[in-house]
Amino acid sequence: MHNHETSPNAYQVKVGHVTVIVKAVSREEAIALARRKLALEMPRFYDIIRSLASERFAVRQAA
Amino acid sequence: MALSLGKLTPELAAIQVEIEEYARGYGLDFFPTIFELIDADQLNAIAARGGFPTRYPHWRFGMEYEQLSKGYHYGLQKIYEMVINNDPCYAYLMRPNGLIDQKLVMAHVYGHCDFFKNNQWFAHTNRKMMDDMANHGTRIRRHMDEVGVEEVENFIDACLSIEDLIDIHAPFIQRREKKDRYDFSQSEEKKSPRESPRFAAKDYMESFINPPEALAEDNEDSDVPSSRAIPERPERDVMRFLLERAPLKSWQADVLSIIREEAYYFAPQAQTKIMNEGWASYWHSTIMIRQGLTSADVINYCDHHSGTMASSQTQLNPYKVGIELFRNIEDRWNRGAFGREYEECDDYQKRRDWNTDAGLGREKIFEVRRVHNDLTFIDTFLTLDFVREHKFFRFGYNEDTEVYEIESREFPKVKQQLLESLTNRGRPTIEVVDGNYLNRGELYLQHDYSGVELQIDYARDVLENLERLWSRPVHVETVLEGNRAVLCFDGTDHELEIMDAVDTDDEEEAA
Repeated sequence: MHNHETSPNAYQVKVGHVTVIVKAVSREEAIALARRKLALEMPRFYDIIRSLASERFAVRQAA
Repeated sequence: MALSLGKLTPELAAIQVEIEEYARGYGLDFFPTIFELIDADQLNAIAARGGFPTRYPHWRFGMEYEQLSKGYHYGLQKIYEMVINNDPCYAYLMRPNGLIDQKLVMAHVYGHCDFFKNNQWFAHTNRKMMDDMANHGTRIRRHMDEVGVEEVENFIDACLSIEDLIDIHAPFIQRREKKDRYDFSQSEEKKSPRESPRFAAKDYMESFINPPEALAEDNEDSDVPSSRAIPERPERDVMRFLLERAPLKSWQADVLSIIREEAYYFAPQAQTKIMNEGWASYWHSTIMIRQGLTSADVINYCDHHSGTMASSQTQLNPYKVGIELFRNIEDRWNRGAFGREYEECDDYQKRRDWNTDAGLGREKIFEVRRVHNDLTFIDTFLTLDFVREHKFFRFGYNEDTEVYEIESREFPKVKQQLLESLTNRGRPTIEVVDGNYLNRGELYLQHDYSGVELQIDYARDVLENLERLWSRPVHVETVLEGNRAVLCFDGTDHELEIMDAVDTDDEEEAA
């Protein structure tokens, strides 16, 4: 059986001037994965990335 | 480079079975042990790589090989055995050695293997390190293919210069929450928005006592992220801090993580040098004397055993100190020479002849090899009688005569110096206290001064390498000639700032 709700989609997550593309099953997971990706790429900004409110992340489904 | 290794001859294989049986008979418990028979040149090549035939390529292995090889050819030194903490344990025998030497080495190796398996300080080491070292080699070679040999090798140099800056107790203490710091799945959603504090008020007074404008203002303030110190607590694992916080490229982070993993693997060996060698020597001596020797072999065995145990006037021989302490413990516990009654006895003659036939010696040394490291071993079992019997002394540099000389034969001073040289494997304890020093992203480290100053030329080199990894200026606070001092490196220049005087233990003692 194929469950549409759990199959991952590509999301484009934008915060400030930075945009990342992640594969996730929901918008919340997309934000969490984007945080992870950004924190790994920019370790000095870890604390800022962690404390940013979710509303600051603009999420849209990538084509 | 991978080396092809030789299997044992039938004669040596038979000796291995014999010695293994003796070792098991004494209660030694070890991983399966594989002996490889190799030439002196191969042994030097493996020894140069810390005992692993396949590792990442680096110039220092070649340099160490040259040193060992020249030493061997000039007849200055010879490696009898080498054994690797792994499951199975790997040990190397040198082909030109005589049969009696091979027997001795095998008995010695089983002592080491038992120690690796049962000593608690090795409990968290990677037992598949032989494979992982080879994997590390593959990963680093791949990075070299991608970014160039020289760039990777230079970066390895920088990482190696801080390989001592780890937290040797970290495998045993959970210093922070186990949660992965990069797991953001519950970061915001689970957090309830912070309610502004309200004063209790009746309905009709609410708007006066808790004015909505003030609450709104307070809520706005709460959106500002609270500024937390980086690191939150001083971090002794400087390599880990850099891995998490330094702006490293992915290949650099991978190389640093490899060097760090290997540093943690080797740390217990540095922490238990005296015990490990003492334990192995105790067992080779016991097995050889009781079972392994024929009358024809005695002279040869004694010659080699005494060569290994030779004490020097200028250096502490870990083999000698270790074996003698284990024998001393066994003897004391066999005689019942321990406990309150014995300690409180002031009569020298009575203490010397003390014997309750307790017979607990063997049991005690097995317990000691399970729980102690060199520091606790010396601290617990080095006694006044032992120091007197073995003529230990404390030495120091005399500035008037410009030579090192004996300072004292007093037991507390001798023991103190020995313990100082073993604390944190004789390396300085340095912690990261601020990763955003002066709010400029600079790195501030603190040396936990315990009587031994940093060697300034080394400290400067390490600062340069740290600056390279951190890419911002670095500072280390220490104590120099009784004053607090900060050494700084900003990428081009070194600075030394001398601050206020500190009370050192020596001054307190003198007072």
